[in-house]
Amino acid sequence: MPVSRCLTPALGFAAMMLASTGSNATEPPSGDPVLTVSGRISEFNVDNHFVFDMAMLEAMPQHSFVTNTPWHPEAHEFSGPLLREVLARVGAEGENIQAIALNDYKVDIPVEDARRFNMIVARLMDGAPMSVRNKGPLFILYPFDNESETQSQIYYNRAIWQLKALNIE
Amino acid sequence: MQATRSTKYWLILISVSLLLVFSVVIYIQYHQSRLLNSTIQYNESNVSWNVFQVEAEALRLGNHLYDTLNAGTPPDPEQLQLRYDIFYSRVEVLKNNPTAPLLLDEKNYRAMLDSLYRFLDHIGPYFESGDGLDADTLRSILGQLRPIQRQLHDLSLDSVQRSGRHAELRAAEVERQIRISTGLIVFQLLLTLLFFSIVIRQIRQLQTSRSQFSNLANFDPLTGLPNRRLFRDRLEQEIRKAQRADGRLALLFLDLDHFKDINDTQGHDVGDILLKDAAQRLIRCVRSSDTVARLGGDEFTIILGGLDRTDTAARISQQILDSFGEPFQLAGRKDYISASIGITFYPDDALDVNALLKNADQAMYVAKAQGRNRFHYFTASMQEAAQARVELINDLRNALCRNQFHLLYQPIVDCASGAVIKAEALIRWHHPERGLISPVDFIPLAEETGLIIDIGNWLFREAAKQARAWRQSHHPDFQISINTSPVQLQPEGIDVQAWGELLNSLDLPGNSIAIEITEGLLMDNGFATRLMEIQELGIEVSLDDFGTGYSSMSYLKKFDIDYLKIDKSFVRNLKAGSSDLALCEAMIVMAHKLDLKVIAEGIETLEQQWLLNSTGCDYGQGYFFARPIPPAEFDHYLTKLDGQALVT
Repeated sequence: MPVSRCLTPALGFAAMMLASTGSNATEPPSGDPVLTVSGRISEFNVDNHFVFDMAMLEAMPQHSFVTNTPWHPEAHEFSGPLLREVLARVGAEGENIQAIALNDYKVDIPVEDARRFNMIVARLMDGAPMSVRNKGPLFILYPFDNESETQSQIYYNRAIWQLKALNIE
Repeated sequence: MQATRSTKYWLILISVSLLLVFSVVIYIQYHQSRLLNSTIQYNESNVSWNVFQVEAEALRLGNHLYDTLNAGTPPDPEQLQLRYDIFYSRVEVLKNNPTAPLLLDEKNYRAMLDSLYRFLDHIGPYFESGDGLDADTLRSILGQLRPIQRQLHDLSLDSVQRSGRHAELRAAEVERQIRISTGLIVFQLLLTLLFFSIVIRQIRQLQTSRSQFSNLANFDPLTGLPNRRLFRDRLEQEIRKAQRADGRLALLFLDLDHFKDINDTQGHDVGDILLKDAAQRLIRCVRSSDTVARLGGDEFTIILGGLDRTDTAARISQQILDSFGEPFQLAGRKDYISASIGITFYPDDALDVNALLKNADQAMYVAKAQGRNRFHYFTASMQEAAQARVELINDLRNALCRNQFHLLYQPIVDCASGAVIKAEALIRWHHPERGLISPVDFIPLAEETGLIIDIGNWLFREAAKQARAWRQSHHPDFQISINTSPVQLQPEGIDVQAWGELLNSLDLPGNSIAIEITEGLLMDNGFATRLMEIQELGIEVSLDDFGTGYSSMSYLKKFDIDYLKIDKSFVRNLKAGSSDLALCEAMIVMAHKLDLKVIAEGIETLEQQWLLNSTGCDYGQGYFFARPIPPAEFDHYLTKLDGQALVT
């Protein structure tokens, strides 16, 4: 049916418009919070933070790539929203991201990295959610295999796992 | 050849070494790049961090358990689960770091992992469900955690120390490899230099041998003078120069007089000494800008460029002739050798190399013909004569088949009886346009072109037929003598067998023919064998022009000569009491002693005949008796003579 084929992208676009401008954008998460963004952001849903639950991250456009990492013996497919889209979602205005892990490990990621590389906030490894034991639930990843430039200690250190919070500075 | 082969092996050896060294260097660099691989480096540098993180997480877990124990409230299962999972994940990270067993004491590391997993597996059920975590269990877990924390602390300290050492070892390893590869690269450089030095040396050798080759190609090895090739090149160059400058050049063609005799009688070594000396004399006589070349044999050419006056060529030619006036030192004895020079000018006489060479050559022949030891300019009439010569040779080629030759016969008279039983056959060429041509003019051409062989065979056949006729009609012992050229006596000359067959077919004995040869022939052994073959047919041999050449008695003895012909120069001035008469007498006496008959040539007067008769000469020939006449007239002459004989 050619008509509906033409309609589908139009409808999708309308839904996107609703999602970005609709009132539920600033509503607090309904599920367990998995990622709290704070600092220089313009969108808030809980006090002066923006809190994501897994469903909200899942609702965003998903990006995936296969890559080797220093922490896995083989290559795996990782998928999740692009970091720059997460930043856009919260209206981030800073140039630096302080990423914090469950064990309070902290690392600075320049916002520039998110612009230059298709970094993702990975939710899935090989299509399955990641447990805390398996460096989940969220894992910021650079496309190491696609961008050979990122195969260095600097970027390996910035790939933070068991991510729980982002502080935009 | 041997040197080239060993060089080739060296080059192959060096190439293989270079290839090997290159490969090793590339391997080392690959190895280094692996050592410096960021993932491995990251993992290595993270081993201590990973151990430390496990230790920290163990501490956090412990603290959390303590807090729970002290608070006295029931534990928060979610928090416990999280702490457990984080701890678990830290252990996993350590386990999954591939460089950990290499950097840590492997035994300790494995033991550590074992106790950690044992501990985790043991407490797992409590943390996953949150059930049964009463105070006693918590204390027991803490009790189990304590030795693990100590163990982790030791491993952590050990890892820090080991990573320091590892970094040093790695640096040392890298340094060692850099040293090795630097050494190899220097070696490579030396090999490359060696390679190129060998190649360059080879190229130099090649160039030297090439220039030697070009020397060989352009210079005469005996005299060191430019050869024909280089001479032509130089002459072309000089012609172009003269053309541009609107100038004049002279070409001298020089030939040593009687060089062949020196070569033949004294050997080629002596001839070579003479040529070298002559070359030196020529160089001394010309200006340094002039070219002296040797075309081959005893032929030299001299190019005198940039002449403003033609008499310069004459001056230099005279200098050359003067310098040849000094005797040559040949094999311990002095010899006088003169030279003949032909001179031609560019652009006056000719414009190109070939024409100039031909001119100078012709002029040289004129100088020779005029008595040698002189120079002669090329003239236009010489050009015409040369042209005529070429035409004459062409006509000569056709003369035989067009029946233009005929024979005349001059009677040879028996001095005692006046009888005629011998005649000399003399060839004549009746040219359709130029009339009668003297043998003096065409025989040299026939000899030069080899036509003399065919002409000689024709003459023999004609003479034999005539001899048969006169033997039948006149006298059974009639003999006709024919002149023979040295060319005919060469290996590819007379076919003796064919002559023999012809005589057989005519039923003639060999002595119906006598061949006349010049005495110079007898000196050459090559002619001697051929001469003896002819004698074996029974043909008699008559020595022509006796007294004008070497007149060597030993040769007369050696060869079975039948007749001596005293040259007409002796007969011409024969008078009573003259020295010529004495000479004739001596020759005749000597000939008779050697059992030879004597024929005197050129008898023109009664007095001459008388005098010769008185000295005992056997035969006479000359206008006094009869001039050379055609066969029919000869018949008539014989008939008349026979009549007289009958009368007397």
